[in-house]
This record gives sequence, structure tokens and C-alpha cells, in this order.
Amino acid sequence: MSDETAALRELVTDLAANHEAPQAGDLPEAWANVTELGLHGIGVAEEAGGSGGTLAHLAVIVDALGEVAIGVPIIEVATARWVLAHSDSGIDAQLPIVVLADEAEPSGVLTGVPWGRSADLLIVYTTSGPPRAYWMSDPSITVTTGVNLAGEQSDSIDLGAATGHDLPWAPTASEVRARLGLLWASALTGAMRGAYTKSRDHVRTREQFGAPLIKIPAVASAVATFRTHLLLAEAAVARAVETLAGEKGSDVLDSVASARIVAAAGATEATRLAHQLHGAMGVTHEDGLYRLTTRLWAWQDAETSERDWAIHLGDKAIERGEDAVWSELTHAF
Amino acid sequence: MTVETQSSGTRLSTGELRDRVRDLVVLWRDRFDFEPVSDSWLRSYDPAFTKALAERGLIGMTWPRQYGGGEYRNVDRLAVTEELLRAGAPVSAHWIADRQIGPAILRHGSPELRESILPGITRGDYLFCLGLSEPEAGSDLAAARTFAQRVDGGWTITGRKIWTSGAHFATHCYVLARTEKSDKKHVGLSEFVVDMTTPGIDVTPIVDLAGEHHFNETAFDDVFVPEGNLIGVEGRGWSQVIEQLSFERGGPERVLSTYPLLARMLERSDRIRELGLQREIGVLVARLATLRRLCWDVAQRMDSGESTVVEAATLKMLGNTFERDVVAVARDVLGGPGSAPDSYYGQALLATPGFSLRGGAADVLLSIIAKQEAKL
Repeated sequence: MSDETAALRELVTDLAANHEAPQAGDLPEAWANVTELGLHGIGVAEEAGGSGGTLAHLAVIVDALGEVAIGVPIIEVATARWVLAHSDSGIDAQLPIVVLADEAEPSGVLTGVPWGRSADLLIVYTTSGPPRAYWMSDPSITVTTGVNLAGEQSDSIDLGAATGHDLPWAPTASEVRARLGLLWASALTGAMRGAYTKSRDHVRTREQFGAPLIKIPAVASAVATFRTHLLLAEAAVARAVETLAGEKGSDVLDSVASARIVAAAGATEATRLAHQLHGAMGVTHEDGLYRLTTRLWAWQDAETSERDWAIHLGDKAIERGEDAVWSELTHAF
Repeated sequence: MTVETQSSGTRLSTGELRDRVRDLVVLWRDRFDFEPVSDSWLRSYDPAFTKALAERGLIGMTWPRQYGGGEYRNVDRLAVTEELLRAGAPVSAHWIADRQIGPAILRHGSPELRESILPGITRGDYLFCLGLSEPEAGSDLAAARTFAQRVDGGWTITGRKIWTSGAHFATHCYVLARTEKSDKKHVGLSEFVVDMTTPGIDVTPIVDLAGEHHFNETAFDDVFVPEGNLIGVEGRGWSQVIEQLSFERGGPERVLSTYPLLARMLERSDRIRELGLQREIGVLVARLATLRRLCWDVAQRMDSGESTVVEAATLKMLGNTFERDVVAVARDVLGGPGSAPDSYYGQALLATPGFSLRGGAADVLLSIIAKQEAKL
């Protein structure tokens, strides 16, 4: 780990020390710390009102927050701020979020919008034309509140007759999807690591049958299996970060799709193994494992589902054929 | 078209190497008349192909020039090996020597041993088989009973080795043998290079479930091994072999054994759409992309001298699962009740049982990872 990465992770560790799990549907108090530190502005140049740094730095922060099971709107807000900074819009919002609208949704109603009720600005990408920005203070917008599996805000927003205004110079939907996808893969990987470390520590200290649980071969095997899935997710994210940073010149969205699929599939294994290793203790509220595992379940299909990412990648592979797939894969590691 | 990979003193970039090998295998498919097969690094033998690779400096690529190597990095070698595996090319003749025995001799062998063996490997003349497993010991390598008795000018080896792939064509055998009787099984083991023409060696074929002959049982009866053919230090064989095994585990052949089958599948877009298997294909592509990345991480760690124990074991575990899952999807796309043993699908399927056995069974790998994790 580089010094820079270690320093970024330490910011989150400090912040987590005073963090208390919020009630379902509440914006965690930790969000105030995140914004005070300017972590939500990483990846946007200081001249453009951001905190400087790169997407890779932002991914480290998102991973570290996932590891300590803190769910805050950093992915949505940092991405929305990046969109605004590249839109030449002059808009200055406190908690802007970005939504990629599904064409299947009836026009005007957005479902499952993370942190919708807390947002002050909503940027909506549809399948055609430039994105539009809506101030949430617009009286024609109505919000129906809900929560996801981890108790995080997940709301329905009816735009009604709200007009909003175009952001003609904004980055494309595909660029936004890649950025959001990478950050969700990072969040999942962080939460997997949190669940892994907690599980490993549990079986190393908890004694049954006269010895630490890890002495039982089946338990040791489960720990090792868990470790392999974590290592794979980390490798997938590292690859996508490099691709997105433009270091290798291969297809950005495909590389993100791979990371997103591997991390989401890893999350399924991670939740199963973490609960198995924790035994009955792990299902209690007091133990707190649920804070990681419910997030893994909630996040594995966040924004674009694992299934949709996989179909995107599969469709493209058969459309282009083996030669193109291999060339694409070997363009970068 | 001529394709060169070596010219006086100039080193090619990883990308150049990859492109040249990619062109070569297309040309050589006709010249050597090979069909792409799954598991070609174990199952497809052609010494002429090996010789042709050697002539272009593609065997022992990372080794010093004085032994015929190219002083390339492990990441460069990775680009070459994965292009060969992609093509399902006949590379089994030199695979063991290039992958693990050469590097083991380079790390631990005496200058004389290096001089006498390594140039033969890089010329494509010396082909190795692996005398590790024994009939009585199974996956427990350290339980080796094969004994090397001290004699004038060297040792005489007696014992039996099993699963010695390619022993029937190998010029040399790597043998792990006991040089000291000890209560602790990891103590007193030594590594040797044995010339297969030495009197006293008997190779018996073991035909596999596909009806193919790759494995053997190799018996050694008082086989003389000269002093200089000891690799490294007498009695320290176990720690040396552990290093060798991470070379054995961390390569792309643990991911790409069934790639020729995947390649075939990707050309059947009609069938995949008809069955609605785009998601399954997408997941395979994602896993392949990531496992390749892990291969690269392992090669890079080797280049910088870092330990690769956990990474290599992970790669092999998850790589083998991936290889099997390719076959599972291919069952729907290319399989069917009339699948022949020599069809793309049939050939790959019949190879699968060996994937998670060779190079350490899945359970052995998990215990290696668990040990590391218990220490942290």
C-alpha cells in the first residue's frame, strides 16, 4: 500500500471511530464528517470546486467506508459533482445526486433512488438527449420514501411537471455508468474485506471443542475460500481503476463490468461464508455483522444489477467474436 | 511472412512478443498440423513444435543469456505462454522444464549443473518429466519413500514415482528423493536431475479415462546419479520444492486449459442467443479478465522477488473452477447426447477431473492459504 493510500484510509478509520449506526432511513452523522473533510469532492479539480485527487483516490475512500460498513451518499454525490464540474453549468449544490433512468420506467417516476429525499439537486440521464438537472425544492416533485436492504434511503421520485434544465456539455451516460460501476465495485470489495477480517478474527479467538474454531479443517477451508474471493475482487477493481485512469487504453465500460460482476458475485459468497463462520452469533443485532452483510446484499445490485452488467458483457462478446474478445482482454492486464 | 522473436541484443516489448507469437501460431497451425485442444500443455506433444519455439528463443525466456535464455521478465513470458495456450498449441514436450525445473536449477543448482542442463532445455533438446508423487504417498509429497543411497561419485536411486506425465518421451526426470532416514518427513529430502537413459529406469504407461496415454508410473532400480546432478543442498529438498510449486501453480495454464473450448463457443452467437445464455457468457468473460489480472500480479511479484504463495494458490483454485465452468456452459452450447470423445466439448470434459488434482488438490491449496491467514 502506498503512503498516499494509507493516509486516505486512515482518514476513514478516524471517522469510523465515532460513527454510530443510524436508524433506518436516516442520513448518517458520518456524512457531515465526510463533507467537512471534502472526501465527496475527490476526483474533481480544486479549481472546479472539488478537493483534487483522482478517481483512484476516491475508490480508496469508498472501499474504506465499505470496509467499516458506513453507508453515505458519497458515490452519488462525488459522481454528480464530477458531472457538474464537466458540464460548465455553474450549478453549486450541497447534495447533488445522479440517476441513470431505466427506459422501462414510466416517464417521470424514478424508483429506488438512493438518498433521494436528502438530495437538493437531481441529475437525470435518460436514454436520449442530454441529462437534465432538477432542484428538489421544485414544488411539483413528490418523494415517496423507502429503504434498501441495509436500511439506507431508497426513494421513489415523481418528477411531475418539473421542468429542470438541460446540461448539454455533461459527460455521456456511459461515462457516468462506468464511474458509478467502478465505485460500487470498490464499495463491495471494501465491505467484503470488512466481513472477511471480522470472520477470520472471530474464528481465531472463539474457542469451541477446546480450541479456536480455525483449528477445525472445515472452518479453515471456509476462511481460505473467503480469502480467494476477496483477492479476486481486489484484482478486478485494481484492473478497472487502471483502465479508467486511461493507463492502458482498453474498453472502460467492459473493464468496469468485469469488476462489478466479480465483486457482486464475490458478495454472494462473502455473505454466505461470513454468516457460516460466525454461527448463530452472526445473526444477532448485537454482533453487528449484519451491518456488513446487509450492505453487501443491498449493494451487489446497486445502480445497474449484476445481471444487467453480465448481459452487457455477454452480448458484446458474442457480437464481436473470440478474436475481438481476446484482443480486448490482452490489451491490458 | 517471416516472424522473428530474437535478434542480436534487442529485446522486444511485451506487446511485440505477444503479437509475434500470435502471428506464429497462425502460421504454425498449418506447418505442424495441429488442432487447438483443451489442456494442450499436458495433452498435446510435438517435439518439432518445441524445437521451433526454441529456435525463436521462446523457451527459458527469463533465464540468463549464457544459458540460451533471453533475460526477459516473467510478465513477458506470461504474454507468450498465454498466446500459446489460447491457440491450444502442442506445448507439452517442454512445459515442465520451462515452467519449473529450469527455474529450480537456476535458483539452486550448481554452476556446473546449470551449464550442463539449461542450454539443452533452451535448445528444445532436453525434455523433463516430474518425479514427485509416489504410489504410496498420493498428495502428501513429503511422504516420499524413494531413496537415494550415497555411493562413490554420487547416489543410486530406488523407488517408484507416479503420474509422471511424459516420462515416455522425456530425456530427463526431476526426482524428489530421501537422502536421510528421519522421523520428520520434511527433513532429509533432496532433489535430483536423472538422465532417462541411465540403466534401471522402467516406464509403465497409465492410460487415462479418455483412452489417452500421458501419465506413467516410473520405477527406479539402483539408478546411478552422479554427484553433480543434485539440485541445491542435500537434505534441503523440501524448502526448495515448495518454491518450485509456486512456479507450478501461478501460471496461466491454471486458467486457460479450456480456453479453446470457450473460443469455439464465442463463435456460436446464434446458439447462445437462442438459449438466452448471454449472462453466463458475460460472467465467464468477467472472471477470465480478472483471473488474467491475477496471473499478471503473480508474474510481477515474481519479477520483484516477492512471495506468491497465497496469490498462486488462489489463482489455481479459482482458475480451475473457471475452467470447469467453461465446460459446464459449453455443455448447453456445444454438447448434447451425441457428443463424441474427440469433439471440442467431449475432449475438454474428459480432461476436467485432473484439473483440481494436479499441482495440488483443492483442499491442499485451501490449507496453504488458511495457514498463511492464521498467522496474520
